Amino acid sequence: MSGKKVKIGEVEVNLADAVRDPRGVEDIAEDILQEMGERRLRQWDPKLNIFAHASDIAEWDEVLLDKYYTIFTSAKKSCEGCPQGPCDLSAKNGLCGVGLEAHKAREGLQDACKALARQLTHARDLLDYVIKIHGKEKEINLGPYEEFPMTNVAMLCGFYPKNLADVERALSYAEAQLAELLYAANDGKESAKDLVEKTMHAGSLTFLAMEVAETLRTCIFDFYNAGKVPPTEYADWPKVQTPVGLGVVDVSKPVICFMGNDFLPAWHAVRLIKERGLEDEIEVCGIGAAGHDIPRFYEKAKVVTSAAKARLAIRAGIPDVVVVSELCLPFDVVEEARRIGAKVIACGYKADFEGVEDKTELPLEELVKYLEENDAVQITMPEKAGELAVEIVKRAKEGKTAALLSEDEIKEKATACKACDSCFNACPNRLMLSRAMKAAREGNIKKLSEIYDECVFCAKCEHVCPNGLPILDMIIGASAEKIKNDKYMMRPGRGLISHIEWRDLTFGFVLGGNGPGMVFLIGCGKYPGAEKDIAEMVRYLVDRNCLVAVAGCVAADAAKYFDEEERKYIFEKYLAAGVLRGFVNLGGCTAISHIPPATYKGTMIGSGYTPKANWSQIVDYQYTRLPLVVLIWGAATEEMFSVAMGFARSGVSVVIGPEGFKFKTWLLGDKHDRSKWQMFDGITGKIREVEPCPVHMIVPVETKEEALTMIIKLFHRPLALRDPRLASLEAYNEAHKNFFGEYSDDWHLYVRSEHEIHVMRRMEMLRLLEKEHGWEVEGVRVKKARLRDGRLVDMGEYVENYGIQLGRYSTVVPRLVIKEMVGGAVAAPSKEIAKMHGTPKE
Amino acid sequence: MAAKEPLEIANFLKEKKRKVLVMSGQLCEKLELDGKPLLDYAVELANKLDAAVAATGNTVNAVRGKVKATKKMWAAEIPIYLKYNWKEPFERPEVLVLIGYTPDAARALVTTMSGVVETVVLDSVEVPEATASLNTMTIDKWKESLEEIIKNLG
Repeated sequence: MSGKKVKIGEVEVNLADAVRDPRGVEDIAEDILQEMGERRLRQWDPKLNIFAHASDIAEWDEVLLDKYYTIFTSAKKSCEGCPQGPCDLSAKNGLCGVGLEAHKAREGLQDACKALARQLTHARDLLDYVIKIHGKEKEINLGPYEEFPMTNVAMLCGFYPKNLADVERALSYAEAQLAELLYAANDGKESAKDLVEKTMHAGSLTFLAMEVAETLRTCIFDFYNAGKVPPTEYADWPKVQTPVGLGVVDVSKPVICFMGNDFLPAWHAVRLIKERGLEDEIEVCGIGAAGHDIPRFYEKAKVVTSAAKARLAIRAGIPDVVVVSELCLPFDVVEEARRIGAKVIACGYKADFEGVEDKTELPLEELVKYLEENDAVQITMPEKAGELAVEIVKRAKEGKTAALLSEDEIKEKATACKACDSCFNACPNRLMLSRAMKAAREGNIKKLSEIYDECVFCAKCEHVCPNGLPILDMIIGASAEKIKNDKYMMRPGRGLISHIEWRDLTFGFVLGGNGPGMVFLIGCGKYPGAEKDIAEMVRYLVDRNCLVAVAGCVAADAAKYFDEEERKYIFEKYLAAGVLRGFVNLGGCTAISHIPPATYKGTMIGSGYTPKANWSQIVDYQYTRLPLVVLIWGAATEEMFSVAMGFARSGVSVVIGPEGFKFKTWLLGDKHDRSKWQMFDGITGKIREVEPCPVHMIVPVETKEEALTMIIKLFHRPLALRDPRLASLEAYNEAHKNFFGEYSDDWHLYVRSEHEIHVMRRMEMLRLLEKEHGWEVEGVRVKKARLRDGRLVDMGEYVENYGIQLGRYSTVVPRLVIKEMVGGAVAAPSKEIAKMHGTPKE
Repeated sequence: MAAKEPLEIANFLKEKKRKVLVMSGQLCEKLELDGKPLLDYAVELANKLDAAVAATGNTVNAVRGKVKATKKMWAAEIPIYLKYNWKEPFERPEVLVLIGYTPDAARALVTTMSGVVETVVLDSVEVPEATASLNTMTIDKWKESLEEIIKNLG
């Protein structure tokens, strides 16, 4: 296609060469090319993914999928996706031509699309609502400390939204992409590889949808937002002021409990509560996403528990009124609330429960009357739902019937257990309930209380019990003391990690420093003992100089640690800033969208590239250099699967907890296959062998010890400089030895000189290099090292043949090998970066 | 269907005992069948089969020194090594015996190894995707079945 030609300095670029189809986006393309500048355009041919379709990012996706094996876990062997089916795919392709692998890939894409749909509809509802009130010209401004708002949008669309009209343009693009992906998920004839690329695209779009919702929260509804706060305050901001746990709610007062993604009913309820001076009379608390949103605008809010354990909060009798919107982990909230006599207000068009009538049109007085006579009502307008909750809650309290089972009742009910073990075999965590029931029959309910610590309250046991035992009620009844004492404090979410913090972090674990890396912990605690495990993992990592950031329900789980010696909660124990040894709470689920931009900031600062529809360029940098890992601990929801695929595409490795074995797709590398671990010298284009790192992109683990060791291993990056290499290797050796009693079989692959082995362990490791790996060592010096092909060579030859020389520009993307040396190996910073940092002298 | 009686499983394993690898998962350390840790069953099985143990999760510490060979391994990596690049220290197995995994994890793992290696799952929940597994059964029956398999291995 011939297109408009743009002159940047002496370089002329045909837009049709830079963008697949420049029609309608010439202005965006020209803007990006101007920013790239002449020097960079002489070095590389630009490829811009403006309003990207999945295939526009295929250059990068193929690099990734060539390096990592896609492992499909679905056992299904037949397809029922069209009226011609079912087709047995075990021996040959289906009638439409789809093969078994592609069919499994389609299943993954379907899961990712479900998550994307959920996030897009939430973002759309919120955006439409905000546009109704403020109009499309309303400015997007995240504050003076955030120069690049909505980087997920910029990476896919090529521009930074300035107002709501821009945001709507980005969201409409994502909605159209979802339609395209859904077509592929159901009718596509692509290869498995193409479908996996589309699944990753769904992940990237999920970040975009979350980012829209999160940006509106901070810009329009004034949620806590680090972009508006001077960085000098970050160390202890926001304050550790939010009570967390089942025991923190004062149930002698009327209690409104908000659940689901939509915070608007809570926002309006809080506004009324404040107007009427009811802050000390009504308890406002949240579960799951709402639980993490409300404390960002109401300092008296309380977080009860994660979305995974919502059933526990209701069975424990906490809410008088439940206000529920769409849920990430659906359950029968109306039926659960009915058990304790609580009222349910289902808010929004998507909160459409069977048997619950939409009465939005009724005036408030009649709504109150209706809800007095009925268990639940659907209200589609958030203002009305919030107002109704405040109006009804006092009366709802009077009608409540909740009471935990007494010890005698538990013992009596336990006699009905026939030890068929249907519950044990249905339990995802293999909890031995029949043994606890036997003990209860014999007068000891302690074993049931022990199960409380491990139970995720999914209710599968009750579902399969042939005798209809209220097993969860019995566990909860036996744990009344634990519930009463479940009291902790957390720091509410703060939104983004700012540029200024990343400037510091760049020196902490990229350009030097002694931080092994940065971990983003997300998920929702649906794992036995999750609360204890998560807090322990946070402490382990922070104590080893990592920065840990949490987003989503996991923040409430992480909060459940109190240091008896220091008399501090975990959020008080560590700095709240984005620094080494920092522990940051970003916010609820939509705050997950801050994570990719946080990683892109590392690239911006390290490289001078501005993220704008230049996917390969940005992600190549961070994939090869930045020690960033995401840990997903808890429920294997579609959302978590989708974002995991999105993170992998952003060059960030993902470790998934035990539920992750259920993810439809893993992306695993093979450290033994040397052909997979190569890079291009960015100057000469010569292929060089590098360490197997990051060795996996999406990998499930079984225990927290495995999680910690794998996270630390995944910090390794082929272009990391010496000090960060030392920090991550030492952390890896320490973890593997401490947790598993032996060093790993691959640690030596990450050694380039004795200086990269920590001095405390150097002698021991040098002896091991000599004894187990055939290196030649003299005193505390490596004399000769063994290459992976078996040759024993001196260190000069070793470094020449293995790994990248420190600081040498290199890439995994062939296009990014430079065409022409222009004033040094790496291009000059973009105008925006230069504005912030100044232009370095050549 | 994969479900087989304990004696059938024992006979199936006996035929291939020189190339069997036992994979012990996280639940081996957590579950006790009337006071006896599941891990002890895994060790007895490995010894009767003269098999090495690929100790996943945290089980390597408890298995070390009790079987002829063991190594810390990562459950998710085993399928790719089997498929593409099996390395020492163990002989490439013909059969993998999985014990101590949640049913979801066991199902995913045997699915990813389908067509590459035969798999036997010794849990109390049937895993149809495996070459062989026990029936879905009570805890007591599971304990008896494991004891019966061990007894019939020699």
